Amino acid sequence: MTHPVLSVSDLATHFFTDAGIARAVDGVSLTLDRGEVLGLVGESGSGKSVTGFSLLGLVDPPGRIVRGSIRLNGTELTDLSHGALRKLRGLRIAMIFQDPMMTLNPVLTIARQMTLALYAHGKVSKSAARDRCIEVLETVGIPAARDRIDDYPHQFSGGMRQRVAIAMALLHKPDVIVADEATTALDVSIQAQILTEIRRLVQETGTSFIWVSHDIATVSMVADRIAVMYGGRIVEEGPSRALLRDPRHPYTRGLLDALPSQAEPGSDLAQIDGVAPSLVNLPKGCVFAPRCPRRDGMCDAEPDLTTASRRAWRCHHPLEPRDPT
Amino acid sequence: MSAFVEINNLTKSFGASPGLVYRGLQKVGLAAETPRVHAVNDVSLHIHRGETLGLVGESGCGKSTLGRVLAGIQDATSGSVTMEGKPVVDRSGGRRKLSTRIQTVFQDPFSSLDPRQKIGRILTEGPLEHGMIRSSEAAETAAHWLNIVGLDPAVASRLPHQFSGGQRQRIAIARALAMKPDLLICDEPVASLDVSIQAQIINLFLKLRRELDLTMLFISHDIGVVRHLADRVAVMYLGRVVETGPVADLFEAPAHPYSRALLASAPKLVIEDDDLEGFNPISGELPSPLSPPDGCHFNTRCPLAASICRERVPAMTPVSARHEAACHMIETGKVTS
Repeated sequence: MTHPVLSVSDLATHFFTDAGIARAVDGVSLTLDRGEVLGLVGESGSGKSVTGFSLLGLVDPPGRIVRGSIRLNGTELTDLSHGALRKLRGLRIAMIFQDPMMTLNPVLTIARQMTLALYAHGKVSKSAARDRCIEVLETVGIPAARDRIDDYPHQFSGGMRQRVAIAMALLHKPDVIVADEATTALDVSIQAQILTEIRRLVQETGTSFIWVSHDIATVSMVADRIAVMYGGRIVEEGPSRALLRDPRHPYTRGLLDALPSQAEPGSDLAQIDGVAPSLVNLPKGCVFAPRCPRRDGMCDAEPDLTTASRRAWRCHHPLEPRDPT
Repeated sequence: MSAFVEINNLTKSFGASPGLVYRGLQKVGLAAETPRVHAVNDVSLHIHRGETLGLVGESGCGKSTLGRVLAGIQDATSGSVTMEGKPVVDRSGGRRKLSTRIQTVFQDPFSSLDPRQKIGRILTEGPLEHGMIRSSEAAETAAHWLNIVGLDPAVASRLPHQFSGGQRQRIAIARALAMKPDLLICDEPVASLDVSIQAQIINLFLKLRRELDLTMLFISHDIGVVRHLADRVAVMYLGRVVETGPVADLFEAPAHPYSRALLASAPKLVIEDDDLEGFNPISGELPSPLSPPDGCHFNTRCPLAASICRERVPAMTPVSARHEAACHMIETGKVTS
């Protein structure tokens, strides 16, 4: 059996605010194999983005990783100093953000900022650096990359900027790329192009992705496995198709049923009543229980993780499998 | 028979207005024309009473501008917008007077509610100002509309910051409804909401439409939401309407190559292995609205583009009953429904 590229166990990231301790991530465990795309799905405040940021050590005060382990190819990241982590970031693990203008420096040409990213992790000759940059820009589908590399970010469209941001993440051929809502701000036609590119990139480069998004449909188009987050924990996880075809957790079922595309036009949608819990004041026991149609007295106790044939869920009353095997 | 709301050859363009010296230079040919963006370009549409018209398109296609002109928030550059034959902006008496019969629900419920007004005041300010209710009736009116949108009437004494995004959107909808509008314009009302909350608001719209016989213009980039809520749909690309038709027809058999591409790039749940087969992104990007291509605006990305598409703007051509599209290839029979 091959070792996973990334394995996270019992990760907890809390924010110590005036209003109390916000348990944004509370006991998340996951593994990622080489060349695998793991989709991390959840609504706002579910902890999916904070999980992504925690993996790269990008949590700022008042937030802090309070427990758990993050092992990247055997290296424990939570033990590393700021400096050591900085050496790894970009080299072995990289990130793509929702807004490419957050990643790109508006006053530097693409060539300048991309080569800077190369120099940061080793000695490279100027011409070799430039060639490598052009190569990755071509990989992500930027037309006429050789000419466009000397342009500034504002000379690119939103979709092209996001491609540049993806190219920068790919520069050092990292083991893992965390993409946080990477296509959310883009139009559907551009999003479709990027999703297609990502699928190709994973096959060609063997880079593993953690694809964080609120949009379960886009996630289903790129991810091999999906983890559904709610209230700071993963409530269900499994191979994408199996999980979507046959969700076991009532929250996953609710998310899918709430999609207009899954319903007859004009019919009432199956809504999840209530609102997401406050992270400062999470319900005792199962975090989803207050909104759950299947709750009973048992749900006052936090459910353990149940695992069965590559699937896992955290629920006292999971839905019956549709086709028992 | 004219429709309830008629939009005829509506154009709205934006551009810096040049200074005096620059205008002089332009006149004698020494300076270039000031570039103008035609956000809405010669659009004609109609909405029947009780109907929900969905307006879809990608960012920059002019769908929100069209909604704003229709609401009278912005003036049209040319063309007309009428409701029951009367212009929506009344200029008689030297004052620009908006119709109170058209109300809008905006995308962001955080910026569309005054943070310092109590909910009761937010809901009744309009009806009070326009003499639709007496101040003694204000509390009752607020409670009535809060009930209708599914909120506890007791919240009338609270401030907007005490509510979640979904609840605020309910308040924004109640505020619009309290004016008893004949036309409700919804500009991406569920785009900023989480999926589970989005479903709650979509269900609210469905309920309101059933109970109040609302006429709606529903603007959204989300094809799934429009398909679910609208009776008829119009697709916009770079300021022009390229296709209109009943929801079922247009989504089952889109005629315009852009509508086809838009539907084919919409993200969809991949549950079976062959679910990805129909997924086919269009190549290329949106051209700059400052200098859209000649002829059909879509010709730079269209797989069917021929020389005529680069020369002449295609006219709306019937595809089937109530379903029409602006594409030269329909006229030549290359596109069939």
